[in-house]
Amino acid sequence: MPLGFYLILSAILFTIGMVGVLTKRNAIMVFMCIELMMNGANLTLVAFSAFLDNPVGQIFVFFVIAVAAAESAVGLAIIIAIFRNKLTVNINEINILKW
Amino acid sequence: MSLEQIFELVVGAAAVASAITMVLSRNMVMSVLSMILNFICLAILYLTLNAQFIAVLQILVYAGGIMVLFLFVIMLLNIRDTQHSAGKSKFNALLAIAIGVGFLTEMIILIVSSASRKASSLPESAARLGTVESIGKALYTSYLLPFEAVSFLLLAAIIGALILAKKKLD
Repeated sequence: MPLGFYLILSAILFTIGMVGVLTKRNAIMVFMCIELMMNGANLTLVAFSAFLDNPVGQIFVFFVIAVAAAESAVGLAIIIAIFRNKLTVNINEINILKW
Repeated sequence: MSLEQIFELVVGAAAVASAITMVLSRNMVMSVLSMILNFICLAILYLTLNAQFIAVLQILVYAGGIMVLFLFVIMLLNIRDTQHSAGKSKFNALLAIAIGVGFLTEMIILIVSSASRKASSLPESAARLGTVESIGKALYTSYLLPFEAVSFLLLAAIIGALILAKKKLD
């Protein structure tokens, strides 16, 4: 497959994730859509790494996956803590830090 | 069109379909499951790009680790559906879809007009690029410092998650 196939596929995945982030009101769903956007970016990195014959892209994806694991662990812990205090995960009702 | 290309097209279509199911589904367990399907499709695409190590990592960490964490939290919290369609949120959804379609067309125009012209197939030497050996060699020589920094980040994330999710600090 040409490089364009992978790039367009990752653009589509990124856009689906972006629309999900903008429309969803549930914090866990927003979080999952962010993971989807990250996967779209990862696909671009791996595709360029393979077509340019350079391993740096795949090493960067390795680091992205490690950071995503750390991010989802801390983020889900924050969601659990918020749910314990406010009994909701609706991001319209979680607005203590809004001015 | 060769058999391999048809296979890649089918896997790509499955990835897009599972992503759409994930966003549209009202049942959150359903969306986690379609997300796992999406990750598996992406891992297959990584394999077609000769990135074996990243493909295994995708299955192990994303589908096996992160999504199980999501499933745990969803089943633990027992959240009822809060997605009510008031007038304002419908307008927001339309606006978001318009932004998304504009963004997507912009990116596709850019990709079609530039990158896909040059590279039409994988270079021959790329076959050994994504093995554990070559990734590991680069990781433990030129990228040793970021690698150690990531291990420290994961340690901090474990401790932070424990502290945050604890019931009462004492």
